[in-house]
Amino acid sequence: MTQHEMIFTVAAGVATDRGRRRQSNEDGYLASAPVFLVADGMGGHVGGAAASRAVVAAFVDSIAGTWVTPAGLDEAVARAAREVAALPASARSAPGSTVTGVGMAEQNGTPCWLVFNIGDSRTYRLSDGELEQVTIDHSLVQQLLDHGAIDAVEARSHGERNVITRALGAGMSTRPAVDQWLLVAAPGDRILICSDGLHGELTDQLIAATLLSVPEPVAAARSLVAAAIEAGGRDNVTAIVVDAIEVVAAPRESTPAADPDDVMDLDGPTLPRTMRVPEPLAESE
Amino acid sequence: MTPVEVTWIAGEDHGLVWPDGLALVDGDLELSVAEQLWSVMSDGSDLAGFLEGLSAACGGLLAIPGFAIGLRLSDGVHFAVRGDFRVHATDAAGEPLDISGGEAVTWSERLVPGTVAFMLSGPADAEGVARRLANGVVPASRLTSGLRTGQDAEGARDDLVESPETSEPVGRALEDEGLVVGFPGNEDLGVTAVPNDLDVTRLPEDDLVTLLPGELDVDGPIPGAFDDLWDATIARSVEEAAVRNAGEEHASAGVPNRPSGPGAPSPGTPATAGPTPGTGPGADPWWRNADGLISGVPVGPGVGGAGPWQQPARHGDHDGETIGRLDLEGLVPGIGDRRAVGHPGPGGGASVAPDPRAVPAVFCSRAHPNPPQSTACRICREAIPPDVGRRVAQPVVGRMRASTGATCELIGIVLVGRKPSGARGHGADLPQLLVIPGYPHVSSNHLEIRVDGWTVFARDLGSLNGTFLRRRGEQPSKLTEPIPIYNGDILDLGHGASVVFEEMP
Repeated sequence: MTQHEMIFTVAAGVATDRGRRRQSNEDGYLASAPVFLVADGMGGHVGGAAASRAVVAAFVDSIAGTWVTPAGLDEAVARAAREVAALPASARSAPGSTVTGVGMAEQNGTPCWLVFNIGDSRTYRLSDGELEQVTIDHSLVQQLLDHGAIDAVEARSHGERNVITRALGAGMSTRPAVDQWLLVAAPGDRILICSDGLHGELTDQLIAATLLSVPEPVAAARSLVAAAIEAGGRDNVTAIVVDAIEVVAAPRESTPAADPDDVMDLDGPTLPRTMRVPEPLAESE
Repeated sequence: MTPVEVTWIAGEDHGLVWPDGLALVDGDLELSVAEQLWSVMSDGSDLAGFLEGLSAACGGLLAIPGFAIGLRLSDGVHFAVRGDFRVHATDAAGEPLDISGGEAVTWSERLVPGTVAFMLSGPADAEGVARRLANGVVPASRLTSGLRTGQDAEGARDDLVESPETSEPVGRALEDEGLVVGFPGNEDLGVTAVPNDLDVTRLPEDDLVTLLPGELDVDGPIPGAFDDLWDATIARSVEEAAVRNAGEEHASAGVPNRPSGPGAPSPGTPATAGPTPGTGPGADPWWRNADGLISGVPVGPGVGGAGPWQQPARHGDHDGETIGRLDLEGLVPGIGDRRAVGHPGPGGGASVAPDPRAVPAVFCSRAHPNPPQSTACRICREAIPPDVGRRVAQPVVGRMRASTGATCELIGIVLVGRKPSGARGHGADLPQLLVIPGYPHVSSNHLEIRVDGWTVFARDLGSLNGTFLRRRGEQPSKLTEPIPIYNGDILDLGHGASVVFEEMP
């Protein structure tokens, strides 16, 4: 068997819009391999935009290297939390932000999605024609749902669905933990990262049908944002669509651990691999 | 909600009317499916439920037929339209509003606040009288909801009805027919196969007399309610956000992250406590007894009592007494997370890291770690000199090799499947994922392997086709509960897919 390198190639598209009601767009995003994220800022016009920008900047500065790791995410989140907390607070509220997205990761030579979340923005995966919401909202409504206090229908129109229970900044006293999920990537996987201005307006079925029917990631992101604006557009809307174009795992040589050091080494050296630059991103508006 | 006036005009499509809304669905759809949809909606389903039902019956979201639906919510009306179907509505401000399926291959959705009246129409022209219907399934070309028929609203009505002459005033129609249609057995009025248990409202005779234009009660707009729901997002700490019940105090009082599901040990329960009655696999510390080596190993305080198989508490799994609303957030992400397979339970030491040097080991001359009492190295077979040994961080205790050739070190948690995925809680490591591609019968998350000290446990994750243990000298047996795994064991996932365990003690 010839040893080949691990290959993980993605293509991504972004669309964002301030919506019909808001004066400004406080959503921020980062769409540059190996990390793709949406940050939904809050805390007033200036503060919200500054907070989401600070989150994006913290990830740009923290995520180095070819692959995203759980430790790297922790570090980026810690930095983002510090920088958002350092922003000046308005009289009414402290700036804050959500963050969710996906990092390109590898485990034992297998390309993986490392999904992360703080707040009520969401990351979905479309795989084998099925849409799955990977992240779990940190919101009051989600808590009520978890406890059976309300059902999914009631959740949709709950009066306090704007209340989130975990955020970067926003006067939260403690550094938020970032939830993470590791998913084996497969060719044809499609990841959707979006702010609540998207998933709050559209049913999961319309999101799924759009992702299934629009092949180009940029066009898919635009279609979703356009649909959310048409449906009401009550909030800023941002969508990133990331497609796994080529996914090839590196077969591992199953050599016995002859070197004693190897046995104790829990973080063994990774195999050579390549990652191609994603296609250029486009952005609406 | 005050019942609103709903009328229909006969046609080829399916008209569905239930207390909270109405829908017009392409008549090519089988009637039985339309009736199922009606039933689902009558049970209080939302738009997602309608779409899911349609999708399930038609073989996918992109295969669903044309439709129009209006669903009354507390803050407005939720519309969805596909294909040649149309919605014409008058919003709270009296402005006419048209929604069509558009050019999209999908459909349009819109939430219109406080809608006064709307009409759903199909591709066919609507001809004939408008008849009232409270509930049921009828062959229709047009449905209207909450139309004012009085003089004041005459303009609005004209606006809604393309050809007024084809649609009689409601009161007139009722007088003509003398009946409200929609109940079983009324085939000559075009009602087919309405389920027998339909809650069909038959208007009393008196109503026919008093049903004069302008007197119909319709839902009015709900000014402002809609906007209020879309205030700026606020973050609240869980303390603020959650509603506290008496008796919940302990949940936030620094008690270690502890499972509150059934069978979870109460605070202070020693790690070696006996089985708790009525529990899932998580609470029974059978693993402690499975291997004498483990029982004496001190574990971190946060690990106390929580079994390696403890699953996150899910909605409905707890009794509501021992778990508070606010104790979830900040302790264990992914509670209620259906994908958190293999996730260490809430008691798994989420924020209290286990002692990193918790595993006793002896070593061969090449420094391979081995369990205490070993006489020969499990890896290199070399004799192990008598030694007091020492405690080490969790070592790799062997490896597993899939029939596909993929291998994986035995440490932490390994999820085996066609497309495995795993979640991470605070402080815990992500599981390793061992992919077995190319076997459709292998479930996405098929099998969980968990390493605890020197012991390896395997558990079938409710896979569709099951997992069988092949152990030398034993009959193959199906995994019905977590079992300890020994060197040389083979777990058979069927049709040639398997994993074998090597280099174990």
